[in-house]
Amino acid sequence: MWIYEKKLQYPVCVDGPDLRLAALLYEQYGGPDGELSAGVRYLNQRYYMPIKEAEGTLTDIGTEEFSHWEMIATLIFKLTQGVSIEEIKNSPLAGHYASHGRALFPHDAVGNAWTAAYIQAKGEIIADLHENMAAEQKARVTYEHLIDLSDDPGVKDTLKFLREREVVHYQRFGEVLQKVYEYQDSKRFY
Amino acid sequence: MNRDYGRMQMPWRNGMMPIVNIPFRGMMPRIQPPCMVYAMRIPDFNEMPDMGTSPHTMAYEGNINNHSAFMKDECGEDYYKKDCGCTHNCKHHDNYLDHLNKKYSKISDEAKSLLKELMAIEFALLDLNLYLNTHPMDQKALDQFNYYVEKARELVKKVEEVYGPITADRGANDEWEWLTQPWPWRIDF
Repeated sequence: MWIYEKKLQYPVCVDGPDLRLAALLYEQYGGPDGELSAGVRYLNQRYYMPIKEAEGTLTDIGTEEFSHWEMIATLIFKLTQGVSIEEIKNSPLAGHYASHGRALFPHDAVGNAWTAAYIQAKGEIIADLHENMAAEQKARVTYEHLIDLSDDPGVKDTLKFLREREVVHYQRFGEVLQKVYEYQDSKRFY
Repeated sequence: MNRDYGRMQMPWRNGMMPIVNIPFRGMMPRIQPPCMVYAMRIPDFNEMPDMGTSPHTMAYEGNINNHSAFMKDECGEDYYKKDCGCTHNCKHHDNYLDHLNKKYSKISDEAKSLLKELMAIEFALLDLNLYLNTHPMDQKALDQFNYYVEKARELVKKVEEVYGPITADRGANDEWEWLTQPWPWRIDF
């Protein structure tokens, strides 16, 4: 089960409304390597893991990803807060507004809706851990692209924090992979 | 930006220690300016013009779900329109959504700073948690974890006095306190 904690993982503040940037940040809200994909990917994979380290790591990192999803949502919310319809009309979010109004919706930066096809579960821990490590690296690169595209210092700061977390998660999955190799070796008889 | 390409630290067994000392924005002068600019740009809720209690106004207050595009002001303009030139105290002179957001975002500076402190400690705990999942025998990390657990326990009490419950199960007093303070996405950190 999960319990909501009424706080963000890291403080989010923005300089002011910026629809261009909000549209770009949707990449991490509902894109292939976004936080939603990450959370669903890990929490869905954890049920058949042969070692406890993998179950724990997938549960805890999967949970953290949802707190990142909330941070991205907060960024988008704050960047679009209080903008006029005139501003929306001339922004990259006009298409988004046509369907979703002022609501958030999980799609990528160019509007492709989120799909479970973005994630994988092979039922085999070596394949799945490699999938996850690749996902963390792709998310890291995405954050670097977004930092390049951002002018807002508050947004950049939040994105740098999130990028750093991808690096840490990659490290932890790598360590779990090593544990799996050790576990498999221990099962071998010569 | 330092791009280290996220290489894993080798050897595996001595993987890197978690980053528990990332200073949060607000404690860092580097980050303070944009936050302050933001705070100054949007007037405080108390300084907003009185919205009045006419039936016209109450229709807005009570029907935020009405589609904004069809809402008209006293002078018949969309309330998003700025500078219509009239002398009425119309809603479109201020952004109505801004007003509502500000209304929801009342939180004392003390509460905000305690909350940020708690967020920092809980983050340290989470990072140690992930590290301990793959290094369960690391006594130093265990000690650190226990240290932060104690810190967090003390701080949660303080935060809940000024901010309200962090989790719904923390209990209500005379009122349902879960809703009395703004949700995290509405706080100007």
